[in-house]
Formats: sequence, structure tokens, C-alpha cells
Amino acid sequence: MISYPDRIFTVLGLQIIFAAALPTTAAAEAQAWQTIKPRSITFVAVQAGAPFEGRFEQFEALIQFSPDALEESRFQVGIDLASVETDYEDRDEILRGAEFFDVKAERLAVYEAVSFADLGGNKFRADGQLSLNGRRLPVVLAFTFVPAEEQRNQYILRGHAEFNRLDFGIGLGDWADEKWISHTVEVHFSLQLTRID
Amino acid sequence: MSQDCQELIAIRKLKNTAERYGIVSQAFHWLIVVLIIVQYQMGRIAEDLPLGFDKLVLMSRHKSLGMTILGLALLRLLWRLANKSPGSPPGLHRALQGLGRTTHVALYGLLLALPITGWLASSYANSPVSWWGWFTVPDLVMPDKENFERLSELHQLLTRFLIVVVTLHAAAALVHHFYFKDDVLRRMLPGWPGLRK
Ligand code: HEM
Ligand code: HEM
Repeated sequence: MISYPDRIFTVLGLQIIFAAALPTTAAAEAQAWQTIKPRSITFVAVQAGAPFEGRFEQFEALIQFSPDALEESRFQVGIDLASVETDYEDRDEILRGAEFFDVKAERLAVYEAVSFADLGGNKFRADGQLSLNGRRLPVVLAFTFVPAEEQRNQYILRGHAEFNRLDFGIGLGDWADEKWISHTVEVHFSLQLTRID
Repeated sequence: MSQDCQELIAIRKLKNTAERYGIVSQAFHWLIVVLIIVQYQMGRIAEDLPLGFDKLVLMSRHKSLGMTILGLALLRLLWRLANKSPGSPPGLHRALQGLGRTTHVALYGLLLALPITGWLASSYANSPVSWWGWFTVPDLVMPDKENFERLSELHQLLTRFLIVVVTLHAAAALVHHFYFKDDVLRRMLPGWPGLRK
């Protein structure tokens, strides 16, 4: 049996202890992983007809995953929305503001998945829930889980998800117009993982 | 007059002669004058708007129109290479001839440099330009906040320079017309009967 170390979720300095929420007994067979660099969570949206990419600089991911123990696998990812970075100060300010992420009200977004499917060929699917902007809705991740080249003990978890920003109340009013900002937002992630023993 | 002959005259009117600008050069000139006025106003108004939806919309149109002007300016230069401009009016002082030529070179330079600095600024700000929502113009450079500031200042500086040069240029046209009483303004105006004979 492995016990998840008491890793403190420090993204916001909020000291959320995710580990306490993990059912250590049921998860006995799935490997616990820690994310190390390189790791990224990026997104693509279309603004005025042209796609641009942004990223979240601060996030924490607790990954418990083994391809042969999907039942016991589990993802918990916390993202600091205030750490959004699109390389353009004006846009970042708007994204942090009340009409988008409204980080003054809640700056944490959380993705949680406990249900996984093996699609063959190292491809998997997670059916999880995204809590964002005060709403909690199902979001599907498609991802691959492959050994890192040159690092025998490390793996790379890489995938993407898509959702409609309006479902989460992001960019309402004038901003809701699809012509100026796409409704569909793509999220991409790539996490290098090392075992926690 | 025979059909053939009329067609020949119509074609000849398109091209410049030693005495006057043809219809194509005139159309380029006045179309670009109108677009530049709109473009300049849009830029100033957008710049003064508070961060928000209206600014995004106006700035997007500014970028699309600016790229349109860049395309027209390139076509115009091609046309000019294939089509000599009428020379200076007879008897014009050599210094004034030189001043006129320098002003025209500066105007062509601005017609290219303004859109290109705007395009560079947009690329540096990770805000790819869409041409009226039809297609995305490729980025010229990787995002970089400092260079965005530099380029956007340069873009702004060039707009001030544009005002100075255009004022000089338009004043010269009026001086030619009302003071020197030559054909310089008239030969850039449509409908002048110089070619009909
Ligand atoms: C002949 C073409 C153009 C003219 C005359 C023009 C003129 C202007 C003017 C007057 C401003 C406001 C500057 C100020 O007073 O602060 C401005 C800003 C701006 N223009 Fe243009 N522009 C042109 C082309 C373009 C193009 C093609 C693009 C992009 C593809 C562009 C992007 C911008 C941007 C991003 C700003 C805001 C800069 C900032 O944030 O400081 N412009 N332009
Ligand atoms: C945005 C404003 C303007 C721009 C960018 C512009 C640009 C130019 C350029 C590049 C030329 C040289 C054509 C060539 O021989 O290749 C030219 C010629 C001319 N422009 Fe403008 N122009 C502007 C506004 C005006 C205005 C407001 C007037 C009239 C009051 C004017 C009157 C003329 C005339 C009469 C010529 C012919 C000069 C000659 O025969 O040597 N332009 N303009």
C-alpha cells in the first residue's frame, strides 16, 4: 500500500491539503506521481478571427495513475486563474477581471477525475468535472501516458480538453459574441511525471 | 470614332502620361487617402477607449484595414514601377523638385512602415492579425512584451510623422494650384480633360 504524502497544495498559498482528500486505501494499486518540469497547461482561443495561445503559470496536479489500475486512478488539478499569461498585459487584465475569470471572487479552478477508460495504444480518456467560475460541469480529457525518453522512471502525461466558455459564464454580455471570441476553448497540458514512493 | 479607337483611349487613360496621372494612379492615390484618414481616426479613438470589448472590436478593424492599406500600397508601388510618374512641372526650382521627390518617398515609406510596425507590434503582443475574419495573417516575430512597447511607440511616432509629411504634401499641392497656378493638383484629379483630345 502506498500512502500519498501530505503534499500541501500551495498554488494560492491557500494550503489546501489535497492529500487528505485522497482515499489512500482504495487507491492502493495506482501509482502516485509528482509533476516536474517541463510541465505546462496552455489554452487556445480565437480572438477576432485569429487564434492565440495562453498559459497558466501556477498550477498543481496530483496524479494517481496506472494503466492497469484505472479503477483506482485519480486526477486532481488546481489552477491559479490569476496566473494567466497571454503575453499581452491588456488581455491578461481583462481575463482576470469580472467579465472573465473574476479572480477577485474565486481564483482557483479545479479539475477532478476518478473515471478513466483505456482507448488502446497508450491513449486514455478521463471523465471528470471542472469547477470554474463557480460552476461545476463534466469535462472530458483525452490523453496519452508514455515513458519519457531517456528518463526510464519518468512518464509524460499529455492531452487536451475542450469546453464552451459560456457554460462556465466566461465572457458574457458583449463578449459572448462568437464572432469576436470563440465559444470553444481548447486546453492542452503536458506534464512530466516522476514516481512518489 | 471607331469602337477600337475608343477602347484604345480608355486603356490609355488608365496609364500615366508625361503630363498627368492615369486613372489607376489616381484611384490608388485617393482611395488610400480616404482609407488613411479612417485608419488614423480609428487608431486614435481605439487608443483612447478604456480596456474592453469596444476597444477589441475597433482595434481589430484597425488591423484589418491597416493590412488592406499595406496590400494596396504594395500594388501601388508595383504599378508605379511599371508606370513612370509625370515629371516636375517645367520651370520648377530644383530645390522644390527635390523636396517634392523626398516627400513622395517619405509618403511611400510611411505607407509601408506604418502597417509593418503595427503588424510587428501585434505579433509581439501575441495577438495575431485576422484579415476581416477571413484568414489569419502569419505572425512576424515571437511574443515579447518589451519589444511590443517599443514597436507600439514607434508606430505611434510614425503616425505623428505622417501628419507632418501629409500636411506639407497637401499644402504643396495647394500652393502649386493657387500660387504657381500649374497643373500639379489637376493632374492628380479625375476628369481633367487633358487626355480627351
Ligand atoms: C497606414 C496604416 C496605419 C495607420 C495610419 C495607423 C495609425 C494608428 C494610430 C493613429 C494609432 C493610435 C496611436 C496613438 O495615438 O496612440 C494606432 C495604434 C495602433 N495600431 Fe495602427 N495604423 C496603421 C496600421 C496598423 C496595422 C496594419 C496594424 C496591425 C496589424 C496596426 C496596429 C496598431 C496597434 C496595435 C495600435 C495600438 C498601439 C498601442 O497599443 O499603443 N496599425 N495606429
Ligand atoms: C494620406 C494622405 C496622402 C498620401 C499618403 C499621399 C501620397 C502621395 C504620393 C505617394 C504621391 C506620389 C505619387 C507618385 O508620383 O508616385 C502623391 C502625389 C500627389 N498627391 Fe498625395 N497623398 C496624400 C494626400 C494628398 C492630399 C490631401 C492632396 C491634395 C490636397 C494630395 C495631392 C497630391 C498631388 C497633387 C500629387 C501629384 C504630385 C505630382 O504630380 O508630383 N495628396 N501623393
